[in-house]
Amino acid sequence: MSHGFPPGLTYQSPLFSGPPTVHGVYRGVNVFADRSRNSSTWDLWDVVNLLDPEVLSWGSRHEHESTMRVAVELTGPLPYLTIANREGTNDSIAVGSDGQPPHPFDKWNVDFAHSLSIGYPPFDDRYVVSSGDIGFLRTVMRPELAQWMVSVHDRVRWQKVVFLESRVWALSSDKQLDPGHVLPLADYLIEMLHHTHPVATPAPAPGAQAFGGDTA
Amino acid sequence: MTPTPAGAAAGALPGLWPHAPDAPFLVPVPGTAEVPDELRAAGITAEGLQPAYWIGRDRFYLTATRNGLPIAWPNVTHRGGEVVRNPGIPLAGVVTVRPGVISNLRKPVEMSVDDWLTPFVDKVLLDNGPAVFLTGQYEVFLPTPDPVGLAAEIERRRQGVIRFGGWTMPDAANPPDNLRGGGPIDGRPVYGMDAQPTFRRITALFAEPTWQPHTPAPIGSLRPVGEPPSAPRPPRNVPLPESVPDQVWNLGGANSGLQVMATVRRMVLGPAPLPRIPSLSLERFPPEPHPFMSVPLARLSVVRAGQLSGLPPRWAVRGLAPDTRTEIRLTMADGPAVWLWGPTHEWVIPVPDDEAANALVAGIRSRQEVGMLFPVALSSGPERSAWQLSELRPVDGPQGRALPPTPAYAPVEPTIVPPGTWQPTGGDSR
Repeated sequence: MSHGFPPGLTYQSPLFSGPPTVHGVYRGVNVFADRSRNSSTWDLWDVVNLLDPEVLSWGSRHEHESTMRVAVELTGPLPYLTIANREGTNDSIAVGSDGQPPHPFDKWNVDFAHSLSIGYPPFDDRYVVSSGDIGFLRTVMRPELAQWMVSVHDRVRWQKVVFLESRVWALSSDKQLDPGHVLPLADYLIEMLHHTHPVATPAPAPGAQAFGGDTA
Repeated sequence: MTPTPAGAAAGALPGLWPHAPDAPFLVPVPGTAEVPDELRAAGITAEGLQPAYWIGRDRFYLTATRNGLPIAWPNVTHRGGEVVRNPGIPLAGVVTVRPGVISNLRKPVEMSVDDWLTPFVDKVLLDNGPAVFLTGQYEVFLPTPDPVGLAAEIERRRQGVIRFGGWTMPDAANPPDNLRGGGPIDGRPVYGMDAQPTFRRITALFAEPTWQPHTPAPIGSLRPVGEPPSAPRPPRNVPLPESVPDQVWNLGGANSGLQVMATVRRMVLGPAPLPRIPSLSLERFPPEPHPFMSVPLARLSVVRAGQLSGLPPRWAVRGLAPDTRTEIRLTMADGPAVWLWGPTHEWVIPVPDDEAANALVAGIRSRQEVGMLFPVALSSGPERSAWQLSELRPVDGPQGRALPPTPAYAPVEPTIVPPGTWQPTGGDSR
């Protein structure tokens, strides 16, 4: 069942064995998307929320909302890097409660302790880039990528965090896992790869066209 | 309370006020000092600390002194999880300045101090005697043997802020209701010395204290302002911050144990050798209390080389580093110096020669440009926290981002040296 996704992408929603996922080949690139709750356990608030959706409007939403992630696969393992939207970040939290940098999936915790400005003020006023490797950050965050991201900042309402971890160039959002939301974000990721340094290259998908090709 | 010679305000910094009429001065108050948690964890106690009001050009705050010297606050401290920025109560937000005498208090009133106001004072004590009564957002009694003189001096500074403006002006331009003193009298708002003190807080606690007002004295003349305006000039070819080395200058002469260091984001002053400050510092106390003073470069508007001449002998600016123990004493002598001024900070640094002065000015200006284009991302970082003041915010133009122009209310000469002793030698380097 395609659920409206183009050919090549498969939607799966196992009833008891995990979150819904979308995977397959899109524009010649291996794409993966899922949507999962940010907290792994159920507690009293979840029961209350089930009974009364109005509680969501004032309850502890942040711990209980879910995150949609869209990712493309890269060729090689790369250092850790995140790009966080300043909107909705809480910059009083520079490190997690355990003293470690916050996990990149956690959009409310941005790793300010390892963040660097890239020297393009319109970008730095909107995003926070963090990486443990300054040289890699300077390599990936080229001026043309920053200028492109600023130019589409208002057009694509994405995401809190773009993150790069090992072989995955990914992006998180609080939207639903449907084609109207997944495909623009996948397009955004693929276009980003056009503007960044070739060190971040998508892995060749089996039987797919060249990188960046349109879907059939 | 320290008795002082007639004609001088109580607790005036010895040798500094009233010879430099716009310099900050101190008014000690009886009370209990404390130290922030970070210092307490490092084994520093409040023993020997004396609470005092630090009264500056446009603001005042409660701090502690040791041997008559004020503690240099870090401009941002974290206390109980809250961030304390821009310490100080704006003089522009003071509504009444009134000299008089308190009597009929049966015993001293212990007034606890809000943690937000100061990390260094726990309680202040109000007792019978001559005092200056300030109302505004906070009601403040300044005990002094010369309430008329002290009130006139505070009122002079307050009038200066009201006339020339300042970063604290928004507090006066749009005061909340509790800044309006006792309310309207004869159809006009209570303002300045015309107002009568209200005993809001005290009468709520104790019966029948008496306030005998004195006749206010006329205020002195206001200091000149008016820095020449400069056009914003976006920098070109700014290096990456990780490639900018720290630059250290040894101060010679009478200050020969002191060093000045310009890092990418900060100016540091202290006894040599100065330790490195992490460039990604989150602006809180380091684990070890630091025996030096520092100022973020983004908070400096005027960076100028000049010449000091005609100073009184043994003129010095003294203060305690934020560890509350290390005294930093800058002995001023006739000769080249660098003047650093910002809305919240002012330093005058005597340097050995003109070459060092020009190098210091150029080094600070170039690092300001680096910090402007590569700020720390955290909004409480040295740059973005400074940018919360509109006067310090960079200017974005079609050519790019440029350092902000000097505020119109900037003084034309340093306020912490006597008037007329400063001559600029070099123009501003930007």
